[in-house]
Amino acid sequence: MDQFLAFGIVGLSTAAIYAVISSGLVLTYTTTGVFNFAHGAAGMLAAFFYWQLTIGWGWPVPLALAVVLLVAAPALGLLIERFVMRPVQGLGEAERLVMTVALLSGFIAAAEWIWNPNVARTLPTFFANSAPIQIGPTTITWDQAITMIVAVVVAVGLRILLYRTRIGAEMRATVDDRALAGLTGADPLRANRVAWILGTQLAAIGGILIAPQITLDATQLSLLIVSAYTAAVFGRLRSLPLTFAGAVVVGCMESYLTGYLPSNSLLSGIRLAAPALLLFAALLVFPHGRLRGRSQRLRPVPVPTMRGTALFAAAIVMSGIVLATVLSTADLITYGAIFSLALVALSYVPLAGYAGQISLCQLSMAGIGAVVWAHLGANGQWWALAAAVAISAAVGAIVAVPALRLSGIYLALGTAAFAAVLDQWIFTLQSFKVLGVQFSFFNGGSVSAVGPDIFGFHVSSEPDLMVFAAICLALASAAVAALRRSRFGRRLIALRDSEAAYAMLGGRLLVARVAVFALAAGISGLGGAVYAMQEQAVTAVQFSLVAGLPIFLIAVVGGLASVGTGMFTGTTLAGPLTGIVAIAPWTANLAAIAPGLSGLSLGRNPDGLVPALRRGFSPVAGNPVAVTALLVGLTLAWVLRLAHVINGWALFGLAVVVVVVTLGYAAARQPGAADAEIEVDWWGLQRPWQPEDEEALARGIAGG
Amino acid sequence: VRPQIRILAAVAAAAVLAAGCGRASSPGTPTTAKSGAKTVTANFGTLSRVCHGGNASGAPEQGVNSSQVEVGVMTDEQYTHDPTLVTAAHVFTDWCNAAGGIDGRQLVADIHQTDLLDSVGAMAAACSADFATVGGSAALDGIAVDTRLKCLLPDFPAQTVMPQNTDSALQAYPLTDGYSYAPYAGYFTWLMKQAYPGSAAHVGILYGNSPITLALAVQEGEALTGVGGTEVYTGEFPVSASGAVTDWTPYAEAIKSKGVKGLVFYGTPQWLAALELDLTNMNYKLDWIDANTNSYGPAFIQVGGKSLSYQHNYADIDGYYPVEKASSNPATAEMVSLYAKYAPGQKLTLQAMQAFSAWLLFASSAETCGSNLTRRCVYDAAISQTAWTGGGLQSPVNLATPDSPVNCWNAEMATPTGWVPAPFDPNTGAYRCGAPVYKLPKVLALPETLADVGESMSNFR
Repeated sequence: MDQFLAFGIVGLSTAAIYAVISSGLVLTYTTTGVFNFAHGAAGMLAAFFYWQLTIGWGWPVPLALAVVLLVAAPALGLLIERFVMRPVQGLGEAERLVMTVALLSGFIAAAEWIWNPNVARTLPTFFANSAPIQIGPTTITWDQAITMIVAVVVAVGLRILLYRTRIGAEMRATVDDRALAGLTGADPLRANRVAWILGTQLAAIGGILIAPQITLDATQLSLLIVSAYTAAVFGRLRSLPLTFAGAVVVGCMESYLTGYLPSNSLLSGIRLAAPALLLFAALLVFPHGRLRGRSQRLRPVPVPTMRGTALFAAAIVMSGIVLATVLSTADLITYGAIFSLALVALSYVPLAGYAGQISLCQLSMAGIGAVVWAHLGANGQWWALAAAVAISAAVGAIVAVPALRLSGIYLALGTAAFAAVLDQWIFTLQSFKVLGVQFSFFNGGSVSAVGPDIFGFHVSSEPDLMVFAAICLALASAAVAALRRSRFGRRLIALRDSEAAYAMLGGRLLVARVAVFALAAGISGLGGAVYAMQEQAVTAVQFSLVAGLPIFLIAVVGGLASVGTGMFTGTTLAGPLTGIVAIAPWTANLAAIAPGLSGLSLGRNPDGLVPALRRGFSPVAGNPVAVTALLVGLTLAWVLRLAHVINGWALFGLAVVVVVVTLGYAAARQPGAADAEIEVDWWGLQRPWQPEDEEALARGIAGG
Repeated sequence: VRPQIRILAAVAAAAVLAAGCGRASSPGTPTTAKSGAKTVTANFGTLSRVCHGGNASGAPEQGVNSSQVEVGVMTDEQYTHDPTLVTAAHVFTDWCNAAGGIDGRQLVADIHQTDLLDSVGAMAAACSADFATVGGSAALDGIAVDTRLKCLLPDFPAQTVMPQNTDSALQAYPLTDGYSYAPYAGYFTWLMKQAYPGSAAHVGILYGNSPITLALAVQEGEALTGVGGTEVYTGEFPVSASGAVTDWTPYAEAIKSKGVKGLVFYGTPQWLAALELDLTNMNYKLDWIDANTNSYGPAFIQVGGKSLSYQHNYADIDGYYPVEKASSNPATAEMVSLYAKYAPGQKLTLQAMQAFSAWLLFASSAETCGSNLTRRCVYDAAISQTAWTGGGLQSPVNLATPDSPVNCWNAEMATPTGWVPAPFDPNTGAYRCGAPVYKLPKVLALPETLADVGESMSNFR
């Protein structure tokens, strides 16, 4: 009994930590509608800054605390509000979510840049020299006691603020209906500012309290993700008392599992996967009602033309062939990920772009595809590739069924929990038997993979695999484009626009969702299998939840609704940044921050960069001279490289020059068509009426 | 034996950052002109003529020509910001080249950044340019073994991490790390039977669940039981990409409630310090804590705090002569002075010594080949060493049989002022030899062989 009590009290001390973190999360979510993935990272920055002031520069603790909590944290909160979140306020859930992922990645990179991670740093705990408090069978240190007290004070304070003050009412009103709150005289902007200031302060308090108890490590402090999220979901992301209760449940569960779970190689992972499993369960059990904050305008999904799609697919294959012929073996492996990561990113297009479902486990699906290929296709059997796609698709369908109840941010969290369960438990399992069948995911480390045998042709060399990967991407891109033009594609978009309307018109939600999840997982699984072939051996770390976040980030920046996003993401992640670092290693820190900064472009291009790029290229497409010049120029550069007249970098430079010159030429030749500047009222008068205008008008009216 | 777990901490964040990092290789430039120093020879400890001038010529193998030998160094430096291996490479090549290089050929270290996830790309780059890989280590080294074996590249690693790589083919690893034996049998036996006999019935193991090292940690737990311990507690904590420990108190409470007296910890020094702080605050004192090789360094002393005097922390340091006793061992002292000369301000660490031993093994093996410097010649010379000591840096290693049990070992203990040798009754110099042998009942993952990639020794020339 003593022991049970002891673990209970210990669980409460963990719960206090979760409570501090998750109350900050809930505060930002209730008032701004943004689920802040960078919450832990903001706390981490505060902890490092606090270390710098107290230990680094020897400032007294009260002064340092005041500077961090009253000056630095509010300033950071305001900066985030002004430059990161405000530009995407009117955009979709995926876009707002991705901005915080960008912040997370940027903050970690910045912290590692400023504070060398190889220097050991410690923050002393508060009142380290006072004797701990004895409570029955266990002891509580002053540090833990302070954490608990702070957690309670924070909860009570926030409750009063939100429900007893004018600014609190304003903050709650803002997230319910921005426009209406504005009409009644509230200032939505001020409410958002206050929310970000308070949220960042709470993150800072959490960071400073937790850092002494664990370790001052940029990534570790930033990634206290899943357990705190679980607590927040208990509170349905808005009720602080329930969040508090959730923190107690998660803290005690972890503590009791640590104390009482029997040691067993199959089960030991459960202790670690437990918060994620609980998160999944909490998402499914608690009613979430209709998601609020649906005030964003739904954007039309562009319809790719058949000709354009064929050209795009051909361009992908051509670029695969060019890369295969000009790159060295080592570079073929490094840059090979362009096409396989592109496949994973492409899976977001039908799933998130068309059907509006946010999934954070696409890379995990790729992991499943890779494992299936490595085991079944050990000798390159072609059918194993089909099996890899099919099994990934089946897992995707399995995820989709419970996820049917979820949408928006809840779906994102549910799929993140699924990915976390794979990371913490399934992928780390040694070989084991289920129903007499031996399973072994990553063979306790890595699995080897070979290229496929297709129609008697053995694809094994790096250049062959590069072309093969490009062909896979081209086919998948064409398929996704065809999907957009099909009846099923239109249904998916209807599903995105309004689930209720979709169901009312006779659509079957379950079927549509399962189908699109399976399709996306299948594409991702293909990407994973191709990735494994090119890498020759893969390990679980390459398919983790966190590794998948940059793919999601860049895919959103590219524009989820465009088929070209796949290629864009692959190229961005595996291409230019890698190249820049290869030429100038000192840019590594800058390059590490780049994905974080890329999120900033979203505000300017809400449809993504890919449509903007396409608009930029459209004058070339309509100008035969420019097209010819472009093709001839690029071919010439390629031939020069093949003949070893120029090296790889010169080829790259030459290609850039050719593209820039033809673009400039075509743009100058462009007749001053300024359709976009003609006001809606004059459509059909000042310019001819176009068929797509009808949809634009309908959407304009529907969206208010 | 135990991989650099600091790297594993970094693995936790995997590709949030890796997205922006590119694989870069930076071929070093020989520092001294070939003709400059032909009369000098570089001796190291008991090794004579490791590097010297000469007239070796010809280009018998990739990476070798009349003026230089280019070897690859695998490192996660750009990702972890840990320069240990790169510094070791520069110190060794600078010193070696100042003495005339390998028989007159300048030794060039080609640094290959793995950026964590691109081990395979980095290895492929080494395959296309280098003569061998020397003095390197990477967290995800297991995924690059196939690539290395396909191009028949011999490897002289500073440290191996994944089981697929440890003792893999064409590898000359200057450390006894037989994959089918428990590496710490002697050390654990001493702790449980001799130093703290009361602890044997109450041992526990706590490890991070990184998929990369999980298998090794599990085997270590088996070994603990195998040499006579009774495991009363097994704990696993999250280090993978989607989780981290928020609070060590539940683990401390579990250790206390199970009455653990001896604890094997498999994680970074910072994590151990945080766990021990909780144990110490609970007034729970263990007989011993195996802090592991990764804690052997100044970092653990800096972060250990009051637990350093309250708890008993030990570490088996893989048969290397302790750094803090450098003045009483000529080879270690020599390395300290080389660092002072070629890398002023850089601390000498255990991993740096491991890297140096690998470099010494490569250079002294290459030296025997003269003009006809082929991969086969260097590899055969290296694996003919049956009692390699790195000139005196370490206890003898038998390279002819990589899968052999540890014979000699040594242990350190942490004090508030630094690490000192533990009272483990050395019987052969600074080491205790004649360690008990424990063969693991089952090996979870086998090292890669040439046959695994469809190659054979007959193609290795």
